[in-house]
Amino acid sequence: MTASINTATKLATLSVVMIVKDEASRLDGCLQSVKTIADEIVILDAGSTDQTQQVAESHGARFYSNTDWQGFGRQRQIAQSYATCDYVLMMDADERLDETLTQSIANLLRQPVVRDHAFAVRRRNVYFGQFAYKLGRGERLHRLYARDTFEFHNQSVHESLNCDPSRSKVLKGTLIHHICESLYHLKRKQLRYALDWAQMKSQSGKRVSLLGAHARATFAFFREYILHGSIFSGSLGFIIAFETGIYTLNKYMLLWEINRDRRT
Amino acid sequence: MVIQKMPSLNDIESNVDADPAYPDALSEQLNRLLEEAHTHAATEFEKGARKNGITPLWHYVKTFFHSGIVQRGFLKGSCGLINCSVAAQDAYNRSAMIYCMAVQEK
Repeated sequence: MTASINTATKLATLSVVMIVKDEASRLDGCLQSVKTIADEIVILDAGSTDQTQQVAESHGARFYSNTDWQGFGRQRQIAQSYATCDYVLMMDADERLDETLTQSIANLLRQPVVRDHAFAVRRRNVYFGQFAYKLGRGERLHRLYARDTFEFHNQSVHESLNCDPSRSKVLKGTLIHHICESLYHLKRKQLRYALDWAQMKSQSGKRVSLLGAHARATFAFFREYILHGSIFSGSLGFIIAFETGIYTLNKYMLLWEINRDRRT
Repeated sequence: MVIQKMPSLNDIESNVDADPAYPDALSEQLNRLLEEAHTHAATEFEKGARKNGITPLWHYVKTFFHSGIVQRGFLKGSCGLINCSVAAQDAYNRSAMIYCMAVQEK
């Protein structure tokens, strides 16, 4: 059953805000999952060449474009500046709300606007159409917050909300993250993140040795495989953990290379 | 599903050697190899190739030490070590993508 909101009982409004680029194939599913709770949908595009705009507008989204890329954090700040509702729900095109989370948000909108807390959601990753087992209750991300109180940091990658963890509540339900359609897409995305991360860290003065890079990658693999429980997902879990290790290795190797080039 | 047996060293495919004079920036090299691995994997998958989840690790470890010891990449300093890692990733990618294509197909 889909959660629905009686607008007469609603005390707060919700802007679903997204930043996208070439997401035509995944955007429709995302917008379908928020259509019952969103008062407006704001989409900031970074220069798509596919049908992203048409898909967005078919769902009544307000579509903007900013191709002057200054990193994920800054792009989210710009996207938020176009929102007009009480709350912002920041999403990505590869994410979907499950029924419980939709209902939690619907319940929240029936109460007065909470300005002193941001709301975190638990996210579960789907790889190649399969849920990956994760020990614990999944990663927590601050995605729902009062528009005029919070905004994202302007980190170029791995951006997060400017929110003290003590001012946070967790919503029931799950944000389903279709992290990749294929290993190729996952690796392409990770290579881009790795380069952005390395450039950001190099500018902030972070240093690493190549042996250190390999040690961190090994640790990242075991953390994902053992501590995060990928071991319980069989062969797929092993590949996921190994990808985590390779992603970490590439981040640090790129950081090492950028630092070396700066010195010479 | 046909599971291929573990390959010998000679079967491991990688078009990266341990030459420290790599031609372009690391990110460009990784992206280029990824595109090539994707094309290779798609072609092999079409032909019916299948891999199990452990084969990619086997390719990674074998190629890393093959590049490092047999091709003496470990003796060529930092760039040699990077090239061993890149070569190993390339070999890993080629079989991991075939494995993941089979997972997607289920």
